[in-house]
Amino acid sequence: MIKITNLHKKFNEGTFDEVYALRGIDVEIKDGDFITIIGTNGSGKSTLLNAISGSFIADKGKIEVKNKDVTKKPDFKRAKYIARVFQNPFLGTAPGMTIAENLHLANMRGKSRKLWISLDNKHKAFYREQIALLEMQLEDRMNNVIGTLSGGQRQAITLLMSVIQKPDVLLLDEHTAALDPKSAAQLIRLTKMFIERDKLTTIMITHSMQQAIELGNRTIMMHKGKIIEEITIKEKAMYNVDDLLDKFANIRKIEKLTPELLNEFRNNY
Amino acid sequence: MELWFGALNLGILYSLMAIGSLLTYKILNFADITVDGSFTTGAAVAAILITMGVDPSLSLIIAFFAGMITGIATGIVYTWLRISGLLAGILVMIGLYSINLHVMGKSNVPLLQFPTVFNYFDPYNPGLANEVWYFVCLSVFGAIAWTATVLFLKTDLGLTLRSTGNNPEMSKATGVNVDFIYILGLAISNGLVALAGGFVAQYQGFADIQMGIGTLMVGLASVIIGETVFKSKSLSIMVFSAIVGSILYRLIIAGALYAGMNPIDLKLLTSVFVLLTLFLSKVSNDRNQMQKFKKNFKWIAIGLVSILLISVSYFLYDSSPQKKSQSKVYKIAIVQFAENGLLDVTRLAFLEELKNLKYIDGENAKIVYRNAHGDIATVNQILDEIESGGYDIVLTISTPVTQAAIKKLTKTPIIFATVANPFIIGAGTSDRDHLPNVTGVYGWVEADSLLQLTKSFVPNLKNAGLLYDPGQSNSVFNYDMMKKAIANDGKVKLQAMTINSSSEVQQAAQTIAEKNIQAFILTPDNIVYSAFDAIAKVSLHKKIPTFLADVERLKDGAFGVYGHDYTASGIQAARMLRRILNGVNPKSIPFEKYNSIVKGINLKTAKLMNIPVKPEQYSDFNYIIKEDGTIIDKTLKHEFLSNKNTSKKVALFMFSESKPLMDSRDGFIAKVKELGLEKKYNLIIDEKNAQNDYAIGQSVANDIVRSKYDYIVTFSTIALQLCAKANTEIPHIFGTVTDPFVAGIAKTKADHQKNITGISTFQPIESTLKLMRKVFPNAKTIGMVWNPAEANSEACTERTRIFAKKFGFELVEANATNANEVHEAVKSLLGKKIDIFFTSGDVTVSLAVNSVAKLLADKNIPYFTNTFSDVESGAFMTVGADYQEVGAETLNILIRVLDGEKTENISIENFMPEKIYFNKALAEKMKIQVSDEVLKSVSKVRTNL
Repeated sequence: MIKITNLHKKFNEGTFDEVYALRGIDVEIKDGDFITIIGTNGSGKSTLLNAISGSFIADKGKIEVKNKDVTKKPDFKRAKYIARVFQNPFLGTAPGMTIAENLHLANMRGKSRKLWISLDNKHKAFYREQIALLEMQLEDRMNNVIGTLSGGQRQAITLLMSVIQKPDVLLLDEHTAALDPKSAAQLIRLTKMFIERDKLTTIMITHSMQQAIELGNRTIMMHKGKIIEEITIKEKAMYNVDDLLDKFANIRKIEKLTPELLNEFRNNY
Repeated sequence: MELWFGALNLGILYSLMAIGSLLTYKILNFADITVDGSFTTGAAVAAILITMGVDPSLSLIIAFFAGMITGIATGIVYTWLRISGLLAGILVMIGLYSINLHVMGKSNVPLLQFPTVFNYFDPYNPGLANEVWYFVCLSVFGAIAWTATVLFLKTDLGLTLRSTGNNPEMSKATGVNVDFIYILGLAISNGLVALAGGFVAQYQGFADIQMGIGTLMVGLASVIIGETVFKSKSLSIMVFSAIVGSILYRLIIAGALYAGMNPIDLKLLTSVFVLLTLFLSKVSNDRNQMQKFKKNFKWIAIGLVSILLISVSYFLYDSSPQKKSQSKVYKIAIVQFAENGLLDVTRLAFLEELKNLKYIDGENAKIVYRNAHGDIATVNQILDEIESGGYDIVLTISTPVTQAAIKKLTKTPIIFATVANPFIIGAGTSDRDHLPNVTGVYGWVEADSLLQLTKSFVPNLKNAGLLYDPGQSNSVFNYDMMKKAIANDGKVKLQAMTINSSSEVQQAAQTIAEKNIQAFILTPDNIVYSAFDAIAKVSLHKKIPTFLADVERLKDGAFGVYGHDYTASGIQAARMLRRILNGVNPKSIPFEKYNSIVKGINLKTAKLMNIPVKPEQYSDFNYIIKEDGTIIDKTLKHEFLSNKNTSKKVALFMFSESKPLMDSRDGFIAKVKELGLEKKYNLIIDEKNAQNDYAIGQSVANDIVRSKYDYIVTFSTIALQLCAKANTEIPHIFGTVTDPFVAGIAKTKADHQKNITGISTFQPIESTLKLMRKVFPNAKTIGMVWNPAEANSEACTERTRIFAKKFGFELVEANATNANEVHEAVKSLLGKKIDIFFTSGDVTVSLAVNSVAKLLADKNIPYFTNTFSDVESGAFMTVGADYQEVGAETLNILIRVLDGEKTENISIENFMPEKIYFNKALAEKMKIQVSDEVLKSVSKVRTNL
């Protein structure tokens, strides 16, 4: 599905603020893979997702989606294949527009926009059906503007918007991080449901070690712009959180992790 | 009634523009200032196409697409070049000015003889007044625009537009090319604005290069007003509210004019109103503030209602039927485009001739005068007001006003005056074949005559320099005439250069002067003529004579003049008015050309340039400036206006509001009243004050000279100097001047600039220092602050230095060039252990005298001045004149001049009745003993602090 070869990205090159964010990423994601990514702050997790979605063009390397080279394509063209949910619940929806209109916009992802009113009753009924899946009693508020909803509700709608038209790849960038624990749990449940229902190829960044173990068939660990470890589903079955942390400790032994970094991990997870 | 429907119609037309603003400002979240240019683009494109024979409705469609292109331009600058939205809009708007000018070919395209979309409605008119019928049609049109916009915003594309303005990140994530959407939104918005421009041009009957200025502000005002009226966020109401906002805005403007507001204040009214709306909408959204507001609501409501009642009753009073007299009272309106010498002359001559023809304002005529101050939009609003005011006849002075009036007023008789060419604006096709309700006087300067005049004095003329503003239709017309005249001549080449503002004139003149020209020939152009001083400088410096059409510029250094006397324009117009009021149909009164020519020469300039002139060359000239500067004026204007004008205008010019100057003024005015001079000599006294600002003073002085005052009275040395420089003719009497000899006005008492005399009031420095020595036998040091920029002050300081030595003091000086620095200067002297502080004849210090006196009193240092009244401000002791007396004495000189004595024969005398004013209260506080001998010489004592 996605093949990334030797991907590099520097920001603010040649200035004091230069950041070498991606330092040669190689990874192949197969159809139906559900990958969780963990890593320290500034390790390049979000940058990798942004590179895939096309928020910027990489300096070096190659990105293929469905065997097509998309390395130089701008983000709005890749949106045809790729749906994404941001960490910030305010970024995923248009606050001044209604729920129905937002879902309709999402349903048009990657399609050309015609000078025609296509948001008809048939579509509205379909969106109502879909919104019911969230079990948030939003079915009767289809004509309310999104700006009146809570962060949890908005993020659930954003998730629904990203899967309403089955995407080839779903990118989730810590999409539960800004929510309260209850809303986060609910959102994870919905995420699992949608991914299993549509067998979606998914890449999810998480800060929760628990989520990293429980969800997905592969886990990637990133550090300083590189993938330093990959854990397969077979390994994951044998691991609990502590094992994973031990694994980090082992990495430290082979001097890939400093003691400070290990501490950061313990504190974070 | 038509005033209100006119406003409603404009409101609906402008609502297209409001919808355009809504799309960018509210939907795309982008304040787009391109609209100031694209509005004109739409008007320009529609107008020029109509004049080429294109169908008016097709012209609107093309105007819409032209507007889209301007929006695309802004969009590209914004998205591709990543330049901020506001700046992108400004860049495109500025560029559009030139493009619009190219599209129109001139600054103003009239549409009077051409069909417009409004003609489509006429055949179906069931018998309503025009404006009312248009309103019905336009309401339908407005409803269509509303529905179409709402539907568009609900299409997939519309949704995408909204989501992009709402959240560009989310739009990108759903596969939207956000850059493209911005470009598209700006294109649609500017298309609508241009469409509005095209409509407005057809409605008012012309397109003008200036008409787009302020479009953004009006658009935003409409959106904001509408938003406040309707609180709903629903899409259809949002669009509707923009339309209603636009209409309300026009109604407010119409209401303000109806209530008699000065058109100059309209822009201020707009901003105040928008501010108020924003504030009220904020208050109503905030519960706390709302409660406060409700509490006071009763009072606010009572206040508003009473203001309303007062204005209504005032209006009723104003428009109540005049005291019934037997004869009819004619209502005459005069509309003038701008304050401008030629136009003013026209109006004054018109009014004067009306008096001669026995139309007296307030008796058998009501004469209303309106001036648009150069703003096209204001012209239309004034005309709306006139249309509904039931006037018998309208005089339109200048081309733009006439153009708008003949379109708007189809029933009221119109007489135009001072219009170069009435045929290009569609008033008619020949002198006899013209619009039924329009007639007037016109004439352009015959370029050939001006050229021949030039050649008679410059026989070797090969290259002639010319400057003109391509943005004004008059200028372009006059320039074209000269181009033709020169082409016919065949031997002369024209070096023409365009300018856009008066600041460019000097540089352009210099550039042209380098092109081997033998003369400047300046065809009539408002900007070039008003900035003529700049050309005169170049002209004199390079010894290149200048020939032009305005006799007033001859004094500024032009060489020769061939032009019209616009007095004739006003007189002829007044005579036409009488014929029409006597029942003659304007249709049968042919247009007339001005019948008075001015030919003038400046022999002084000729001498300076070493150009030989023989008397026979100017034997038939009626305006001659001789080598010594005296003027022989045989023009109609001189004979007509100056002889009739019996009242005498006096300009009373004070440089600042310092105490001595204001005292002088009070003394002067009090004596004028006491002697009843206003009646006796029919005097009109205009007071001018430069607020202690040299730049203002300069322009006040220029204004006094240009406004042709009969007498000038100045108080203060600077006012004297400024006027002396600007004026060598008008009798000028000065007072409250320390030393006119140092100031350069006079060499001796009797030998002074001929038109200037007055009284000097030299500060009694010697007696002041003598007094100091008497009161303080042991004092050593005197501190003094003065402004080296004041000639007066310098003279006083010079003397103080001399007499300080004589009486055994050491003088310590410090300078201050403005009132703010005075304090610092005084403080710096306090550090140098001074015993006495002294200031004399310094205007700058006198402005700060209160605080200086307080500072010194706190430090126990006695403060002496030569301004008598300074003790009241806290000084210790003053020796000086009571300036009220100085003012009265100055008036005595003026009376001598009024009685026929010549200024050159009145010698300049010193007038300084010495008086001492002593602050006894302060002396007691400072514990200073003053001897009886001194106390005897004191004429006034202050006893309490």
